[in-house]
Amino acid sequence: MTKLNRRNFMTLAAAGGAALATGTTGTRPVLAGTVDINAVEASGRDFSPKTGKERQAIPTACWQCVTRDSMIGYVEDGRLKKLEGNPNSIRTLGKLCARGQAGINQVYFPDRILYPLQRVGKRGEHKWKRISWDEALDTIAAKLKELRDAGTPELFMYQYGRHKASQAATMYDFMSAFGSQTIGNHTSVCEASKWVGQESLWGGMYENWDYDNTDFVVIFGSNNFETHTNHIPTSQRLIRAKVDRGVPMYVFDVRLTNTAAKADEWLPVKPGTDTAIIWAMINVIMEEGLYKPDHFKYMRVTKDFKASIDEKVAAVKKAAAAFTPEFAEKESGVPADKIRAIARGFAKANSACLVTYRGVVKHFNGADNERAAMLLAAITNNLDRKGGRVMGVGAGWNHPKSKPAQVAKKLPILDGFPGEVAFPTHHVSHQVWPMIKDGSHGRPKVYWWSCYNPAYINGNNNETKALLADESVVPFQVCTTIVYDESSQYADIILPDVTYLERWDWEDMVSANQIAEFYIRQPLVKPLGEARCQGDVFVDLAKRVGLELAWSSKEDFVRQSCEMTPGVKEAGGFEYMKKHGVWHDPNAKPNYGFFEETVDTSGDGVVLDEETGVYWNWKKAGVASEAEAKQQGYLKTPGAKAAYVAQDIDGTPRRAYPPNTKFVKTGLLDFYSDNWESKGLPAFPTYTPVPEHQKMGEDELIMTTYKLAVHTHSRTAHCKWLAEIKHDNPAWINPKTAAERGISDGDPIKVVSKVGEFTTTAYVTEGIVPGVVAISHSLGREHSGVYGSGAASPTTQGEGSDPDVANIWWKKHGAHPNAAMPNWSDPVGGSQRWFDTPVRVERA
Amino acid sequence: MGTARNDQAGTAADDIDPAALAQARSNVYALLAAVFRAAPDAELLARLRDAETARLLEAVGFPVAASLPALPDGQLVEDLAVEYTRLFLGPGPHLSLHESVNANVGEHSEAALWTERTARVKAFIETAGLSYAADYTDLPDHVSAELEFMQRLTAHESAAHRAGRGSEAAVVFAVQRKFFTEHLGAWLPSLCDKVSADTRMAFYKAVAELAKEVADFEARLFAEAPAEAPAAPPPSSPEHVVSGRVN
Repeated sequence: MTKLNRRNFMTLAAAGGAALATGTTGTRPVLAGTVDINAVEASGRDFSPKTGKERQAIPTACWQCVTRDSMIGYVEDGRLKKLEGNPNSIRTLGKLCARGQAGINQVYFPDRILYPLQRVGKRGEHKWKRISWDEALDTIAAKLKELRDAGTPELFMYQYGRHKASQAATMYDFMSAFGSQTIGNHTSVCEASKWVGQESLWGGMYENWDYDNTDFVVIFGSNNFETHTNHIPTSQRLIRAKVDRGVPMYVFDVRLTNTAAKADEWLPVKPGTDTAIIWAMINVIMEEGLYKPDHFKYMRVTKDFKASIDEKVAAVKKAAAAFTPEFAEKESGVPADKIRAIARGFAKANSACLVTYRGVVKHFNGADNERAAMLLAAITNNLDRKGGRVMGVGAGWNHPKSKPAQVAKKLPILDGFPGEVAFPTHHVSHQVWPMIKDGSHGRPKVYWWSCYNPAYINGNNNETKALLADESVVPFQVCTTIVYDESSQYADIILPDVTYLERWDWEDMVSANQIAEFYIRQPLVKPLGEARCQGDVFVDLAKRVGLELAWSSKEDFVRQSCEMTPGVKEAGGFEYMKKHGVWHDPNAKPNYGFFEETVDTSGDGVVLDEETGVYWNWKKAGVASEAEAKQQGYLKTPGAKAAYVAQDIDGTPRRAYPPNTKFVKTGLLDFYSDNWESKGLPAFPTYTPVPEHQKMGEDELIMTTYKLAVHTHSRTAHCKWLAEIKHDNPAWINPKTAAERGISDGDPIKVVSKVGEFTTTAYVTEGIVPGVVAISHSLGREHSGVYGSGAASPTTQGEGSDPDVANIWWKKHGAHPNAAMPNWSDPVGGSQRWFDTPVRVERA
Repeated sequence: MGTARNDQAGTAADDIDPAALAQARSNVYALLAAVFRAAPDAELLARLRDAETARLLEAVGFPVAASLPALPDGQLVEDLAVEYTRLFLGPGPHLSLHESVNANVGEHSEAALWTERTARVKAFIETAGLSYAADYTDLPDHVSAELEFMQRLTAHESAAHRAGRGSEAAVVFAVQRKFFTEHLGAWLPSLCDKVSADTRMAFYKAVAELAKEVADFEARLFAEAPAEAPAAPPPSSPEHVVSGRVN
């Protein structure tokens, strides 16, 4: 090679000049305008960071977990510098967790996907080329039009992970306009059975915990101080209750979590037996007469809707009789005396919070477990009452709606295999890919997933990978993502998503103080590269497939919503929300006890159903006459629940608990459930041991998983600040259990189930009950950037050009337990059974 | 451009017309900006393979055209697009073409997209009266943006020389030196080394070697030139203006 000098440089320049002589290549200039060396003087602009450059403070909202805290982003020179809580938020009170503050990593990590990419090799071969958005959307639109023109819009399936509020609303609106109802979610890996258990009782919202006013807290299988739903709003209030007011707090958990560590007492419990303890508490409370009759009048506990309080008390007492504290001790390992003491404290407190989450519901019969928890809260009059387990209150936004397609169809692959789940009201998302594999219920021809990683987050994930890789299963796959991961590697087109810090949304998460907070998310910075918000992509796609949406962009969707939502509109609408980020009604009172509200039943068409005590409007229900309505009765009239007006409570029509979900019920808490009975399930809640746990071999353990405080399930591993804090997930195992297998702390171990195996290291600790192995599901990435996986790029020979890679001081990146986790469901609520899997553990 | 004259070996450097040299540098920057901006399209490939272009490049030791495999044009465009994507876009870890990721950052700085360095590059370019094109979608400190900025500055210098505005040309040269020293020249050579090591196609190896040599040439040019502008500075010297604003 010749070293360049001025002479040969001129030759080189001639070559450059010849190559670009006419400027007719496809390369367009980056810069516009002409050089003006005096421009800076004329403008008076100042770019020194040391001389007062402007820093903007922009209110927005987090997305690092479902809590979606309102926050402030500080932006300087177009770069996001810092995130912190919004002090004007009544939910968060200005707090933001470590995960939230690390959101900056989501925007700026160097291996972020910034352009549409098209697969050019085989699926999984990691061979891609950049394409334009026009090329990407034209390709997708052609596929969608083909399906619609063939009368099979349902063969376009969309599946999403963390979509909430307007992010979900815009997607559903687009899919409605297109005509496909084949929309998969992720709820069964998250909570489904909790929803189902509660909806069948008190309607369509799960609970909040009124820590600001409670006097006693009992927690089952929930890690409130680390990862609990609505984490920051609730955990700070629980800490305050405990520290400022000395509120007793007891935690039943398989592991010594940081929540359990801060409790008055950690009560180690065998997986799947929490409900035996809940029933034993009911037993103690009923036997010792500690129940409070107040709520019994709102409860249905026998077939008879009009049973007396005494009859109801007798029925509950009878149902609980077999579940003594001694029985619960045998099942769970928790001493009977402890159960008695906690039951008495819970019942005698002026108010008490019963907290349940995945530790209770992600099991066989998880939905019924949740019903038992609701029963314990009800008999102690701690349901929807100050200081108790209260019905969550969130913002109710109005929003624009597009004209639905004339024909809407759905592939029957969303709710599990036929007969698998009795009430799949929140779908059975972990069975979508097993059903696609099965094929007998149809397969999508276009599968588009967003903010979702099916080949990582579900059980038996290696099988899902193989299915995604097989072009004969689903012929066309589109993924919207910011990072290359276990699933996007098998897409045909990857669309670069914006991060939540670059997009518009309205938000609606539950308020911990029972007053609804309306808040928005607005872009802090311009989307990097060619990243585009999915809402804006839908607008563009709609034009290509000939759909007319009622909104012209995601920003427009949010703007219209602000202008059509009562309260927000009067406060100043979109402009107010952009400036302040949050709004709540300053005159609102905390929402408790709406069930007691009296209702005017004098309206035209309202009749009282003698059998159930329900007031309902036969005209609204579409019945021909009052006589016919009375003859058919409320429960036997299709559509009558939508015409529910009130429940007769001791002669007074009260709002009670309206039937506002798919469950047909009265206004009573439907503990005795015709819905359950109609499916051959026990009408009244009960305790059902996990069947597989009854026939485990002596060498088998129960595998459980958990979420890490600084990570989500699958969306944060590439955040380097968080990866530095937590990058490994060794398996927790009790010293006794470990010794039986010759395992010492730090040993490599192999975990084997019926569906697969993985290796990890042992963390031998007294902080877990014997007979269990617990591994977080948040780590162990095949891909997810170099910080997430620690692996060199699948597409280059090296580790990219980020010099910070040299600062990765940790060598371990975790193991993923889902290789050994089956996809199996709570047969009632459809939850993925994360905590039921028998495994064998041995030194590797 | 006096290519015929400059083809003569042994011509003394100093006898090259400064306007021609500046225009020559502009052409080279334009070429590099184009090849780093995106994978070459059929048009650019055809021009690179043009016999005269190939001969000129080869004459100075950069057989760019010869590095291209003998494939049908469509296949070659496709292969280069795939390699460009793999090398510079991902998905997954890749060789970022952004200064903020590549530059030798300070102890407390962060290697990431859109850092303060990015903001400084953007401010520098805008200070010179330019703005980013409305349809430009990458970040302000993409290597092609910085190369194009140098292209524009050198073209302006050449025009100033030709118009007899020697002092303005000197000032623009000083601005080039400042930008090159603080930004492009600080990271382009190491980027080129990484590209040479990682690429699977001789074309990008040739491009990287060319770009590294150009950076070396520019560094020597700026080092050899007088520290102060040779002619009297204009009333508002960008050297002075920029030094007070960009740091």
